[in-house]
Amino acid sequence: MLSSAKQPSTANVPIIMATAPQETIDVESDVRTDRAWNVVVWDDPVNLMSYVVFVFRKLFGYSEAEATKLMLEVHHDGKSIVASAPRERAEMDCYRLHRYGLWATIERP
Amino acid sequence: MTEVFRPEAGGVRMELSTWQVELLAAIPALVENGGEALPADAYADDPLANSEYRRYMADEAEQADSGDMAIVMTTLSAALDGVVLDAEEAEAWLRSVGKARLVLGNRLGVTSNAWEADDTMEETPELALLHYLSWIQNSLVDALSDLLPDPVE
Repeated sequence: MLSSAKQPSTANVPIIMATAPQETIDVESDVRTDRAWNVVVWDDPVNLMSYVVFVFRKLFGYSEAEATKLMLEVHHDGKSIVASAPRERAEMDCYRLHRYGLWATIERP
Repeated sequence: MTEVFRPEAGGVRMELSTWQVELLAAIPALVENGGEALPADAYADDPLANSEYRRYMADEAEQADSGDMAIVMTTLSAALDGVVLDAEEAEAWLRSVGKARLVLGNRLGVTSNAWEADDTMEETPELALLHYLSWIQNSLVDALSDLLPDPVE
């Protein structure tokens, strides 16, 4: 049976112990996730150049000239970094590219 | 040849002949049965992160694809007389045509960019459809590009 007198001390101890390490972990993981990840688009033989340029303009707001430069990088070098963002945002960018059938992945710089 | 898609106030006008409606009606089945030909992984070499990513995104992706296909089928049935697609409907078309092309390319075993000019490839219905969808895609990209703002660099 728990005594009412003991409750404050047993309640306090776990709170302090549980909170302190959790805060430390959260801070570390925040630092990790906030570091920018690169969104990479890979070359593929089927998607048309004009289509890829359009998707880059549509999703990232690039000018036609910028989007064309990135598309040509994909075409000639096999891949291009089209965006950099914190991990969650980079995953979302990757998902939006997949929706258009572009081969995208994310990676740490 | 008249463009299938033309920019118009409020969106993109789509006008199709009967045989084009019949051809394009193949898109949903193509995409639904061709999942392995479509991009789904967000990490190049991290299976664990990929399974996590898929766990979060798979349902959303599936719903989004079904939504696109529903738009394609609904607007397709009106396209004989000409129909104006709003921006989201036009994007649904663009994504669906793009995915159908990937599925066809995969079926044909296309591995090089040279396929478009490769006249030694065996002529098959799949190849003919892929060429036709390239033409459809270009028409749609041209129409939609006219609606995009071009930011000053």
